[in-house]
Amino acid sequence: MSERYVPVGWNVTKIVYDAVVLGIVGLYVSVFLWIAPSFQHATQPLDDYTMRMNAFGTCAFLLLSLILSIGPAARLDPRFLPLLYNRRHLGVIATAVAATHAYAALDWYFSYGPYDRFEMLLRGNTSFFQAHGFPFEVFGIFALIVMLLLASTSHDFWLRFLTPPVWKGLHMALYAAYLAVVAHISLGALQAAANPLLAVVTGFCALGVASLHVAASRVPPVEAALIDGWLDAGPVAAIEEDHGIVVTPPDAEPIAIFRHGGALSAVTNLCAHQNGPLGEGRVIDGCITCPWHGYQYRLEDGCAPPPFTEKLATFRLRIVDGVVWVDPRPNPPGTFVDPVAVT
Amino acid sequence: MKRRHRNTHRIVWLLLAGLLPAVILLSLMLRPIGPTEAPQIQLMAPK
Repeated sequence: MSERYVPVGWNVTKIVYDAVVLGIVGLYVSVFLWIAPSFQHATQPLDDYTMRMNAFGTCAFLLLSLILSIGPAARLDPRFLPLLYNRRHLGVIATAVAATHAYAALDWYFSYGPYDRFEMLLRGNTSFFQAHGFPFEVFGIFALIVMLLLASTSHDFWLRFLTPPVWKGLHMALYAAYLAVVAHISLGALQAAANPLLAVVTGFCALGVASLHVAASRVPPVEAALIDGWLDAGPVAAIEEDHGIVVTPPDAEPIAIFRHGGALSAVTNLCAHQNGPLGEGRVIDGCITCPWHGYQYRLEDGCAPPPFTEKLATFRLRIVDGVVWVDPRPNPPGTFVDPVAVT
Repeated sequence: MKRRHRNTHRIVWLLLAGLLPAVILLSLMLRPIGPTEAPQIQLMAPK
């Protein structure tokens, strides 16, 4: 929501969030290095370099699984919304952890050959037609490139520059990266794993992430019926003060209706920032506040308060016999509509 | 989230829900059974 470029708009919440995540990453790596030796096979002991590489690799995979779970979890249960707020910070940290894993692998496995280590990495193994010994590194390289690209374009500057649809489409490449990471683990570490723990954890994470996304996408929007060109949005009493409801016109985007100060206002349910679900947010300081990243809009005209410039489409409302009706034809973004008093 | 975007998400994740476990299971099935390296032959010390 910044009107000028700043690398990161730091506040206390973000600093605490990042400190907690970095603390957890440090703790995970330490505990891994402490207990992992007891899980290795007696005939195939792992050296310290490989242990460190595995610690950062598994940490990056778990972080990536967590990042991909936050969105659907927040849709299914609003208690996960605080995690969504700083998800991009988590993504940047996961990328740094993955890059550390890649550096450790490059430094250990490819540093002692006759050629340059990057050349060794890309040309050292060309067994593309066999499962055992497959050059699984290519999947890891692809995933790391995608993660670096997404981390470097995670700032709102790039969101504005690329426009939200392009940015969102670009960041959906993370799904392909996740598939590549699972293939990287399956054709790499799983082939030589001495105990089933890694297979169980990888399968649990992959299935868990996919199940959450499928479950969240199966929550269908309730479509309201049109009567004389107006939508029945239900009884006024169903809308709590400073909260909203969402109604979905047939074959159109949902509309959010809010109650504040004894009056109702309606705007599109899509936040101008990242299409977040405004109807799941609240009215804070007299403004509709997006639950995803806190973008705010005035109730009466859908405009973000100055100096911000985002605008939402507004909708006309009327109340008949205690029932709210909404005209599903959107006004141009920023159009003033008198809030309808609840009598 | 826009309706079109939500539909794309649903299709992508339905595909991934099949692909992710398939990759893991396939790689486990193709795992080599038994020792993957030649046994170390212990030579007798010269007399």
